[in-house]
Amino acid sequence: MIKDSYLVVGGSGFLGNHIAETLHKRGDTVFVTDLVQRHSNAIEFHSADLTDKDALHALIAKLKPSCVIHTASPIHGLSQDIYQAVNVDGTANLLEASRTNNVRKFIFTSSAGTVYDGGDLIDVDERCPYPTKAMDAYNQTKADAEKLVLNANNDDEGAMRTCAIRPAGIFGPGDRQVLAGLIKVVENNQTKYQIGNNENLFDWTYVHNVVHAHLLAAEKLFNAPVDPSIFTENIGFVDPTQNDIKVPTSRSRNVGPHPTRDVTGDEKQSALMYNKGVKESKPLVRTKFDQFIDPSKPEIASALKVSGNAFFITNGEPIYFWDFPRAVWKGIGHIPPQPTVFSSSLGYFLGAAAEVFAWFSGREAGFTRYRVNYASSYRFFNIEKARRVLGYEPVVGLEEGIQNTLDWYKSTQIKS
Amino acid sequence: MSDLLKLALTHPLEFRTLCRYKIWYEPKRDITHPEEHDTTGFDRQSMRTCWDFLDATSRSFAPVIKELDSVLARVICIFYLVLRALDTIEDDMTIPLSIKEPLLRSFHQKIREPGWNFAGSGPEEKDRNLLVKFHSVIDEFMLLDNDCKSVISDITMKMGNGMADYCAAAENPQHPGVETIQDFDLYCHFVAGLVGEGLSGLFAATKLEKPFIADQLELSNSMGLFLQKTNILRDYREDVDLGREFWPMSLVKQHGFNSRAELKEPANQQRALWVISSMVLDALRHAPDVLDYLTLIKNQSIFNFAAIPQVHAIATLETCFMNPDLLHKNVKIRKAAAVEILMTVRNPRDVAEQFVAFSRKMHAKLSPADPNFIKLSIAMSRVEQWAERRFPSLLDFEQGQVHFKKWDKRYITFAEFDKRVTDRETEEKRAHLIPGRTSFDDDPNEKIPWRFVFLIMGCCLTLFLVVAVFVWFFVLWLSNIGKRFE
Repeated sequence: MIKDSYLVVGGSGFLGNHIAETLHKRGDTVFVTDLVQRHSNAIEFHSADLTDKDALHALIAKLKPSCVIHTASPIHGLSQDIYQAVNVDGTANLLEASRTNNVRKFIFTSSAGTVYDGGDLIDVDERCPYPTKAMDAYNQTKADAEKLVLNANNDDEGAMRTCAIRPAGIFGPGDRQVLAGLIKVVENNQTKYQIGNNENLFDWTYVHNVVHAHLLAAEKLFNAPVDPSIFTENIGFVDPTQNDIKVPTSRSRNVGPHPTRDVTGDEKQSALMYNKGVKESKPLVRTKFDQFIDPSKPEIASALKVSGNAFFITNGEPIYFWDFPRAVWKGIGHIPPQPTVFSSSLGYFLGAAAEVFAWFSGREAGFTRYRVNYASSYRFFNIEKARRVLGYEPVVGLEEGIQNTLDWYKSTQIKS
Repeated sequence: MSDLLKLALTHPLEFRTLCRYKIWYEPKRDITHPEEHDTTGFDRQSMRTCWDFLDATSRSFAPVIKELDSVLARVICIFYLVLRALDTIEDDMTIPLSIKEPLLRSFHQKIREPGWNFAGSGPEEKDRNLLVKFHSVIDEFMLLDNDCKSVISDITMKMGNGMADYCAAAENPQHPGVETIQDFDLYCHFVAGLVGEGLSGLFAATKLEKPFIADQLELSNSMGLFLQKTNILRDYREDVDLGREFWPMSLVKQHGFNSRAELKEPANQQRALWVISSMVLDALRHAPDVLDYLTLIKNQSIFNFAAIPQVHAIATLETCFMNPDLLHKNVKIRKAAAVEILMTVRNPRDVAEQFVAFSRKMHAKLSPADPNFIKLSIAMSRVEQWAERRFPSLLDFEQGQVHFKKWDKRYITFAEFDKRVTDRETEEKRAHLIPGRTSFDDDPNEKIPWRFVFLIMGCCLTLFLVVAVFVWFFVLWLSNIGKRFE
């Protein structure tokens, strides 16, 4: 098999840079393109604007990558026009330029926000339709772009295959959005407030896991669909943070104390099995709401391959909403006090009041109804499709991920 | 009595629960009833002795064991007494190792020797009598069918050998004891996990559950480990005072202690709480397995027997979590809470609801200062995730009626997906039928429902014929009468 050469579009961005560096470290041929070069490293950089169709064509014709990874997207809080131009039109340009220049693989960084309309997201899977009214222009244009990408998939011989990765709440070294927001709360001395009852689960994803998902997608884009029979077995929970120890059984267990006798051959065999950590196969009961209740249905059979499909990617370790900020605050040496709890309805009222005040005073409101809703709603995804079809398992756990991020943050503080 | 009066005044709701229990709760079966003798063996002197021993040795298990269906009550009673006898030998400090060790290792053979009993227990031993009259248990064991006998003797052999090893190690000063979580797991496997394996084996052997349950060893062990670890956590003070050392040293050292006994010093309270929470974290590791196991059970009496202790366990974990009282005295869940669980938990959904409720209660006490803050949050969220996956909250159960929460994204997802499937299936059916035109009555293009029309016409015709026959006979009869008068 010929090794792929990669073009990472948006390679100066937080995620794009991580992907490019991982590929480079792995010894792959990788080029990066973005508006400006923000990272000084050995990776070949080309400046390109997604809205410039001709320049894109010329660049891809020159570099001839076999795999394009499209991570470019403007940050949150910009105008509708910019999102439309970059996310939708830019993606269409890039798809066209890739297809005409014989690119074989096209991986799109989408967002879990493509299905978000402000309501609770509880264990939703990829069958979830795009909302009729998206949360905002960003999510709307990401959804539109994703549709373009998935429609462009062509499983024919020699044609270009596409797929979309939908990460939820990316954080990690190099990210300034999530971390900066949380640190500001400490500076404003607001860690003592809690909106909602903190019983809502929320997904976060460490950046290396998102990188891992992209690379798996590139690797498996041409694979045959997975066997529907695998869905009867229970794969349990992901465990990068918990690192679950296997439960001992009379078939598979360690040798215990044995001061008055010798170890038998059977015991050695059993200990060998135990220490390999091979878990027993467990049956799985599914409900009719479960996407894999009957994987032989054509509607699901088409989702058992990578190409033409979207995948939610998370750490698989959703936690209660306020626990993530609190873990970060604790990591920077601030253990938050016992919180004063506002119910979400009171929060809404205060949020509305703050927005009105901001409107009168002409200042930007820090406390809004949007944020109240964000803090008190569920947002966690079912990643079974990614685990079964992509073979995705998070490599870095939430706890380690937060630690790595804070170590990076502290190292940048010392430098500056 | 004064206790009850005090409860009525201070906790009226709990008092009400206890009253309801006393008034309404009746055992599901009466093992002494002559109709039940066939399966309970109550007509035999030896079995009656066994039932008496069960009452004498276990106050908490006896009532639930007796409620099990058909022969299972008797089988589990024997299994319990055999293991109880084994445990009595292991615990008895007056028996020298030279007698104890071979006895534990050969106990699975003793239960097949009619007439065998053991009078060597110490005079203080409260279950001494069980061993003195153990021949009754043997007589009854020998009457069980072969599948049940082999499950019981197999577990007895494994547990007896494990106990013998631990007893021998305890007398060896070089033995390190329970050091790591793996050591802790293994110890709990020998004393409790094997019980789980045996119970699953007996559920299958009596054919009250499907055979595969006997092969689910990890799930069965988790059932035992979750209960055992909860008890070891709860009994901290009693065990430490008696010099019994169960808590894994790795967790104790992790928080700066050199011995388990140091935890109870008032000055160490904060750090001791962190050790408790790491014990809770370790126990919660088994929660998803427990929930999985309970969804596989089909028989209601087995479900109650298996599920209620597990819900009591998570309630106990919640009581122990962040509770410094644990270091100084025995903590227990309130009697009314235990009774409430006993009366209300009937199916896996109830169990999942209770597990979520107690997880949330624990989470409300979780402090960011806890060294296991994130890990505990994840462990608790796993219970929530499990419940959402198996019993999605988009279904609302109210007074026996199911409502869909139509705004739930999963409902929207499901409805749309289901529509796509139905549309395709209708389309396929239509495509399949049109070319052959084998039957005219299912053709949706046909306006007149011919089948229905023919059916009606047929009915009318039959009715008409029947009436016509009657009328004909009636006229005939009338004319006959007329003839007579003539």
